[in-house]
Amino acid sequence: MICRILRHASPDASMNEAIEEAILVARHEGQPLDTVHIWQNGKAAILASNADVRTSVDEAACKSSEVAIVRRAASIGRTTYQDDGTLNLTYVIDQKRFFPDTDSLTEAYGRLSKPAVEVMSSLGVSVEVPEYAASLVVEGRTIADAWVRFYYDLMFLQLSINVQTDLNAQGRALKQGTGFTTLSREVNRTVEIEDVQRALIQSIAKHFGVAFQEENLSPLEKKLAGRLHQIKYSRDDWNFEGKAPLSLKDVLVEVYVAYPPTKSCRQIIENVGSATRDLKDRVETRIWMRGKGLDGHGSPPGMPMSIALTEAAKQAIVPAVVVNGELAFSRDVPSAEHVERKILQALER
Amino acid sequence: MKRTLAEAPLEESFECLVCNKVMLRSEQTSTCSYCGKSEVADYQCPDGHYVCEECRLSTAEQLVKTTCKHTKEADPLKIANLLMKHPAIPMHGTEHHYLTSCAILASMRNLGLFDIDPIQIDKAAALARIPPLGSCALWGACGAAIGVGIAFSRALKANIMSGEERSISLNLVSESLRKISKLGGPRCCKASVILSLQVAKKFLTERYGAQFDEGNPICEFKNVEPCLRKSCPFYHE
Repeated sequence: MICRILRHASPDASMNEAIEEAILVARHEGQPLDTVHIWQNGKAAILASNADVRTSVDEAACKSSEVAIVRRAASIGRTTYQDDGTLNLTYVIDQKRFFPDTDSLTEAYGRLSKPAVEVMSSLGVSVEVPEYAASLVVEGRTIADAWVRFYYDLMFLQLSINVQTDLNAQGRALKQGTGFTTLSREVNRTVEIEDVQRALIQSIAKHFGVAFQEENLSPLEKKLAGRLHQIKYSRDDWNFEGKAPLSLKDVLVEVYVAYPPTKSCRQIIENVGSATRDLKDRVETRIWMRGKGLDGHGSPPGMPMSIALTEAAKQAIVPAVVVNGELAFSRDVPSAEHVERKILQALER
Repeated sequence: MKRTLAEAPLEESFECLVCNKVMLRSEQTSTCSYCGKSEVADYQCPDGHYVCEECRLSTAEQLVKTTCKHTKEADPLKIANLLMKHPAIPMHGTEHHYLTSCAILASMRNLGLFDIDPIQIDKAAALARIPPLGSCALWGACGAAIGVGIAFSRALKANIMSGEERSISLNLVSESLRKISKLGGPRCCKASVILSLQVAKKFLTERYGAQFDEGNPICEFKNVEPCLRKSCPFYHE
């Protein structure tokens, strides 16, 4: 099995989060290879996607120490601190392709953690084998935090390994900054990041029978990362309040129809299609089918309905059209011109 | 790049809501499996199932009442299963409270046991809507079990001065709650409906000689979290 190995990182922590999400989205959109991304961040407090910044980090301490505060879009994981002593190992994989013999998440997580566990063991650090999505721990002290996220059929797992992380800085930046350790502390000498990196790559290749292809970010990934940085990861809305944009494009149109679609549902889909034909660069359309999910194929992880559409579904408002998170049409069939007018109003805002 | 439904033409085949077989485009007149209305179908299942446009757009309550007013089915569990397969009925929720009571009333009518007019079904639904979401945990009384009591109370015309009629309703709710409580948690509205309807069916058989298909029901909604899986008597791999 061939896998891409990517070592790219930005000095900007928020851009690194954008890159990680771009890799995931690009893989779904047809990028052919699974990726192992091995990289380092600058000083950053990384918030969990649902974390409250006020209870998670000491903002004043972060500001005075020039620690960036960024939020990760991973649903499983906790707030953590990173610096150039931390080594990040990110897997972006098609779970079924990588592990054709199991669909157990627990099993997949255990296997993906094994290379890191093995490398630490080879240094004389006995790491407890983690439960699903749990951190790697040495006698109760966290040595690597884990983050898990799903997007369609893809699994994103990141292990942030404290090789020489500054634990004092961590204690100042995070409100719950104790209970951590580093590889260097555990073996009582400075462990070099490059050595851990090299050992990890060898261990991954051995465990999963992969041949690595060293490649940089693709043009699609660079474009996606730039866009994600612009609309999400560089913004306080996201980093401090956890408010994610609805779409990578400027406007999201969600259409909620019956399953199978009735005549009026088909007409709405056609009218929305006509209204958005010349706006495809700026407008994303998603069609949700009642009881059957996105495009009638279930509800893919990482692709939620907007709150307005969820409410419309609960109230059995079908068909419905939601434009940028606001219910625009309910139960009637708007003309293409009417839909276009709503979209243009949304674009102007 | 993967194409979405917004980019590609609508598929010409969908899965039947009733039996999951592939439905194909049709221009034949068909009868709705829910409300009994006849119309020119757009999609039809090879086994003859069809869901009319109005039922596809129905709210949960409209669907339950319309179906129960028109169905000729005598087994309340079959009526309930048909309803629970419709997208208007979520996996869990208060919809299961009134679908239980309405399914029992429809069954009683179709068995010829009681004269149940459409207003009775409306009234049962209105009463069974009262237990809130999570009444099983908040009140210690599952709404599906209460739905059994509501159905029999309506059919027997029980009131606070009644004797046997009131006792029957209370006993049936009590028996349904007992069975649901033994199942353990977390709550499963599907299992609660099946257990409550089993209690109702047993009573109808013992008291009125009603005949139903034998056999342990198999849940058709399994593995939707948090499914009780092998802890559920209706789970089948």
